[in-house]
Amino acid sequence: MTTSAPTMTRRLTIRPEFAQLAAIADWVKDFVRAARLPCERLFAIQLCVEEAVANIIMHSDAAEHDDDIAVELAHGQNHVLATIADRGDQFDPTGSRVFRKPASIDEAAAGHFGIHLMRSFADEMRYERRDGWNRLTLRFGPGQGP
Amino acid sequence: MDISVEDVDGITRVVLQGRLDTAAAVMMELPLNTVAAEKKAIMVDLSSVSFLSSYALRLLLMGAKIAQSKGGKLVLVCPDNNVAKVLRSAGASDLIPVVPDGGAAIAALAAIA
Repeated sequence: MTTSAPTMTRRLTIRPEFAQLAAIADWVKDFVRAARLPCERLFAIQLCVEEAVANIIMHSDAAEHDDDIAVELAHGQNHVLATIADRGDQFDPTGSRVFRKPASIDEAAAGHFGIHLMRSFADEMRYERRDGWNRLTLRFGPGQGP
Repeated sequence: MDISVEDVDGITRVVLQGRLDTAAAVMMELPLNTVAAEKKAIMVDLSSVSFLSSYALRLLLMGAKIAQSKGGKLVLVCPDNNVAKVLRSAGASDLIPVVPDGGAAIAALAAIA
């Protein structure tokens, strides 16, 4: 993942609850405005951060243990990095199978679109397990997304 | 997130407004699934929806599946915006009719309304 030194970094710690999602979206919006990024980037960053956090709340034992989730946004010269960290069981979303468009409504209604949307709306996705934390980092370049 | 439901000329129009994030989608499951199970010609208007999460996407697909299983049809009204990008990216717009406005939705539902 190519990065330059960030010019602006903000961090947020949240409870693992769905009720926090609207507050996260507002926090991302404030960051994007402060960084003077185009609104296309706002939607992509909001979507990917929401998917990552919702995934932790729904599927990770971090939520069961009521462990906080840490979110960081960093604006570099030509990109934004969003890092979502939790202390749940090790889970690497970058290792999930390649998405195949559903062939039927029955198949589609089963869901499981979250990781695919992150792959589609972010330019790069990186995972590491460090000191008991899952750290998912998403990179958003200057492009227009899907 | 707001929802309104009205029946006009045999078509049920469900209007969703605001952010359809995961929390909102959980709350919309019962009202939308109820409409999908009880009505035949359904238009779900997303024109005023500014955000759509993967769980919300599943909600819409589940509604279409329920409607289909009861012999009905669910059509989405969605202009070409970021929400439409989510629908396209997941392949949902290949499985449910997505039209740009209410008039096109009425035309798409005419056969069963």
